[in-house]
Amino acid sequence: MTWRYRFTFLILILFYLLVIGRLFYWQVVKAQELSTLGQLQYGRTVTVFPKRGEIRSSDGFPIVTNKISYLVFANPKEVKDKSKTISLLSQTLSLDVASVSASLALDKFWVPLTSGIDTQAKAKLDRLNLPGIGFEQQYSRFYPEASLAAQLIGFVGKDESGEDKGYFGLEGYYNRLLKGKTGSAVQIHDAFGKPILARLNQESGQIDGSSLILSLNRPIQFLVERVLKESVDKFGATSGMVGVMNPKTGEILAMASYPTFDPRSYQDFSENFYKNAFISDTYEPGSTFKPLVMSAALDAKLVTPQTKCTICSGPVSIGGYELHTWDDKYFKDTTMTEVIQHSDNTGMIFVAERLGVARMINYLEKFGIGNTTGVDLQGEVSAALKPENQWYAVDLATMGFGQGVSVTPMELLTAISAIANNGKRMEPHVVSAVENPDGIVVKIPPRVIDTPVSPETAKVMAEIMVNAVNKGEASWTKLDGYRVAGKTGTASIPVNGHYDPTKTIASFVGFAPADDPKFSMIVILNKPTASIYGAETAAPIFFEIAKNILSYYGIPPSGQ
Amino acid sequence: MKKPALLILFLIISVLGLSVVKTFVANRISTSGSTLGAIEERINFYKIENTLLSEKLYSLSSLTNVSSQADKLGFVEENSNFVLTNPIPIALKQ
Repeated sequence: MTWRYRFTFLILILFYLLVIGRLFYWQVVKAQELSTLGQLQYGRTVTVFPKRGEIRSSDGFPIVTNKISYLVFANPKEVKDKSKTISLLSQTLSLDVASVSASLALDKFWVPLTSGIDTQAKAKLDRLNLPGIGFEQQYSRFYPEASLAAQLIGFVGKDESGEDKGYFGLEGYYNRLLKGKTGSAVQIHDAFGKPILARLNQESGQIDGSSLILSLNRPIQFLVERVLKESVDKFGATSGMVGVMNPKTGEILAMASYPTFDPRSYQDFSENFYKNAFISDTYEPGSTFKPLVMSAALDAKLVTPQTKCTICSGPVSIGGYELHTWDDKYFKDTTMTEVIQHSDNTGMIFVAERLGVARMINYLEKFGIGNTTGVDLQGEVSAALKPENQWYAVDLATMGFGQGVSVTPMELLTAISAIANNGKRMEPHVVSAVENPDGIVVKIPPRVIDTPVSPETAKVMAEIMVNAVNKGEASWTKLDGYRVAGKTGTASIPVNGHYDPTKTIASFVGFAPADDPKFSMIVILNKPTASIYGAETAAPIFFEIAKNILSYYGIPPSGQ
Repeated sequence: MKKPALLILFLIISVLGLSVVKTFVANRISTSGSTLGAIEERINFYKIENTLLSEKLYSLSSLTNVSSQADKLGFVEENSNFVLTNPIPIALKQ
């Protein structure tokens, strides 16, 4: 009996193990496959793509929004007359015959043919009624203002997994906020494939992207781009940039570079056009840097507007170098007000020497020079100032008139705006509010970063800059009846360790109205050929734009 | 003995009643899939229509379009602003 008992027991154990093994096979090894099969009988999982957030200008107009487009796909197993289908598809969608033919030859149920086709093209294909050809609705970017502020906005391309991704500018910087979250939903259907329940949207996890509300003023941006384009052509420059800021809040009202690109067809442009030179390129600011150094010396009470320069009667020799003024004209006992008016390099050497290296570095850092400004755009760079122990006497002298230092236009505009804003330097920003998909708007408040100079110093410096506009080299183009504070700049371009006298960066920086500034602005022209001087190229552009902005804001001339 | 019999009878009637109701309801909603599909299609149609109209509206009201239309209609930029200012309320020493 014992062996029979054991044999039965063994058979039972084996049977039991067989059942366990089979269960393991179904529950673990084939689990995923069975689950998919079950889901296919029950319903269809649909990927729910989020709508990318809009980008609106300060007047609420969407300068970037979404339009409906379609992905065309084929089920090669359902295509009946392949040669006719290939011919019609390639004609209607302007596709290569070989690529359509290759797609339809695949042994698959779903093959994408092309994406981004508009509603008209879809309607055309619909009318052809081709079996085995279907559409999937998707959203693509739409730019009602075409290439307006292209370098500020960036563009939307694809990432490694083929999903939309923002590159450069706001699209790049705020990509996570704009793109939202992809979700999935199950469309339950009956035996005939008819839906019997609504999509389970709430459980899908899909969230539309948030929209950005910019401080960018659309009419000002439009004006700036038009004037800049005309001026770059007129003055024969290789490129140009203009930035307009509200100095009291740090809000960017306009930012333009030319040449630029079209975000609708970014692939057709060189990658060099994608980056925003206003924040990604550094240059030697030249004389537009002088107001920063002068206001530092005024704030430290080392000079006053009436202080006389004791070294300005001729070229100044420092460390084996002979430093000249830009026009080789010298004014003995010139005052600090006149130093800025004449853009006198020797006068600025006098000021820089009074400041000394330590104070110079301290003030420049407070003005934000050598650091990124923190503007909410992708790709901002900065060139750090040299450490104090690496400064030679000639470095201090040239720094006084803006040579031997590199800044981005954004850095300089922010620093000059501090003078316009009673000495307070604001953090520049392009986005003033974010609206989430539920319509809740979160405002981004202005932020004071530093106070490089006192309000009194800022007022005095503004007056010196008003005098420079009214009596300086750019006085021929000034606006009658308005008090505008400004400074011209003509910086030579360093090439192989030397400055090329025929190639310059002409610029003008300033703000208006000087007593209660509504905007600050910087204009930069790269290698103008009609004239190399900022007073003859950048200054007229500044005043042309300023005239229109003042008129747009309804600010009348003071009549004085 | 009487109470359990009543309870059983009640349960049987309930089961039968609910089965009838279920059959009736299932019969009523068996074709609603098509109706639901049609409603969803209609919603989708209006959503697309709305997006297309917005697209058209934005294109027409863009400054780029307004500016080019203004050029075509012959509008020109006014360069000489005329401004009325109040006279200065003090006597100036000339």
